[in-house]
Amino acid sequence: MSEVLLRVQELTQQFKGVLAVDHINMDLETGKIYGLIGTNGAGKSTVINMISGNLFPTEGQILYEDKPITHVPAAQRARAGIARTFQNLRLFEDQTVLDNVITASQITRTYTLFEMLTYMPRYRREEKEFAARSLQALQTMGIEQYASYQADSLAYAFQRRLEIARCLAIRPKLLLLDEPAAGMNPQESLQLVEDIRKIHQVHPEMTILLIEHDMKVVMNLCEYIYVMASGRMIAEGTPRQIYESEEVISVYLGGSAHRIGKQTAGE
Amino acid sequence: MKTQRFTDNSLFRFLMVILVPLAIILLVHFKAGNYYESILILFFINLILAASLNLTNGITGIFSLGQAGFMALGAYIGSILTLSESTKDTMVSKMPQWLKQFQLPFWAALIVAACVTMIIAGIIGFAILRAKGHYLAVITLGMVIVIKSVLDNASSLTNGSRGISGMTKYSTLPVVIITALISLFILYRFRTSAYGRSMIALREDEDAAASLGINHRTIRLMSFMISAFFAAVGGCLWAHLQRTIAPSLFYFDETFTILEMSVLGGMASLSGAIPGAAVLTFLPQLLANFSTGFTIFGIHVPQINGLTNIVTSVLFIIMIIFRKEGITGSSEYLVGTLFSSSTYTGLFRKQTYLDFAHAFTRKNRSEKNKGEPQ
Repeated sequence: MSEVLLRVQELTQQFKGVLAVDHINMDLETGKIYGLIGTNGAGKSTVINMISGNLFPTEGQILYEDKPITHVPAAQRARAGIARTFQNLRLFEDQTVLDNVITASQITRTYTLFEMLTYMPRYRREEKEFAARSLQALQTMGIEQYASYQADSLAYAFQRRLEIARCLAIRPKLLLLDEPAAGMNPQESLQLVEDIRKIHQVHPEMTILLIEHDMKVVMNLCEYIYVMASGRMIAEGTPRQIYESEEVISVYLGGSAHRIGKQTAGE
Repeated sequence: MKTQRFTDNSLFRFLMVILVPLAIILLVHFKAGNYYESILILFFINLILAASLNLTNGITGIFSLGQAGFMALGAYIGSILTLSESTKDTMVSKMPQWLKQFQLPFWAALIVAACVTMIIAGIIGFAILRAKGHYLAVITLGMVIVIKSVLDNASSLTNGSRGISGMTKYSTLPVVIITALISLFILYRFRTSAYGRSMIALREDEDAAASLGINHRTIRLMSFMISAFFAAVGGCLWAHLQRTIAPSLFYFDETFTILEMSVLGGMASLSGAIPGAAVLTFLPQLLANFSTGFTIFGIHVPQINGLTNIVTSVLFIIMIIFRKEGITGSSEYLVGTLFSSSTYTGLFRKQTYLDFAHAFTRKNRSEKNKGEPQ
């Protein structure tokens, strides 16, 4: 057993009488790919928002590297190594692709205001380093040739990849992907699976939590899957356990689980 | 990838952005009269003010209407520091003795005024920057009112609504040009560094910026304070140009004049301050000749009151219909050319001149071809 990177305990979110997330527990170990699936409105994105700090839970706690971070603001969590993408693209559209990523890689900035104004060596060195690291992140996602393009001029699938590249640039320990394949055609989502695999190969120590509707993507990628329905965690386990679970089938997966399950099992 | 455009040519950039303006400035300085020179001085002061507003309103996306207030603080603090003891004694007799005796050289007074204003802006900003959007705009406008009434009532320091006068005219053309260049340079350094990128990220998407580790409180406060610093620099220069200041001069009129420059030129870039300040400094002076009535093709046009306002409004409507983002948009071409080393190093490369010449011959050839039958 490797160590637990993120531990979610009895996490609850209540929106004016609606129980969006109801006492859920999760343990994410270092270096694994996890999946979080569920029907629309099951509370998946709310869970991600609470882990990333964009939303604070009403109950329960989150431990990251054994330290409680339940009420730590989002920016500080990002500095500690939690990166996320958004369900709806949140790029800095006015900026170039490279600048988008540099905005993320500058998280390691140590130069001061004075050094910046006087163009000191440390400023120049770090700025160069940011650009280099950003290009590397773009390369990992295979979009380095678009570096000088404006972000909103990219094709949709590339914008999705840019958002992931931006996350990689902060060198996260935990990467939260909120429906990265949403709006992609089957071919593009297949490519995305390859990209995420590649990220996992390049950064084997990185933990990835993937929210996804596309069952093919989840079953292909994830080592361990959590299933949510109307705010509760109804099942968890390996992909095989999930598609064999009666409860999951009845609540969510229906026939498609068997179909995909057979495909993956056959491979 | 990007193609090399003619406007990127170092020689072209050097000519258009540095040499031509320099020639105009020298011409005005040596040939034209004092009147034209003072308009040019006003332009450079407006440039600093508009650029400082662009940092908060356009780049960081915190819509502040408080620039005139900070300008007032800069003007008052600067003036009090440069005035001699005897002048202060006759004008503001109730001023504390130590302050009467305290006199600084102009440059020191300028920096002290700007720093004090920046600290005040930091205190104000800490409280008000929790608000966003329209709320913040209204709060900062309220701040202008508060600053004005403080200046009106603190008569032992400011001589109340009568204001103070008798400052030496330190704001000469070289002084304002040097100050404007330094100000633009510092603002440009911010824009292109990690701080500037964080500001833009906050403008575009606060949640996404937070998820990248950008602390919105610090960055917004920083932007607000730096903006106030340069507003105070502009105010102090302005006071030492007009040589007389009163609280009513730093009120809504000034607030919206600066805002107009910023919006017209292009809020999202520092470069926008240049055309913005140029249009709104020179246009009113130009129109002043016509507002008393003129004769065109034998038809006499009578005196038009508020011609400047009418023309500016029409200009604004046209801008909003056809180019909402302002003259420069978010392009940093002008300021970038001024401060990037490539403009200057490029002048020492043969290729630059070849490209420049090539562009001209190509253009001429294509014009010739048009006339010839195919």
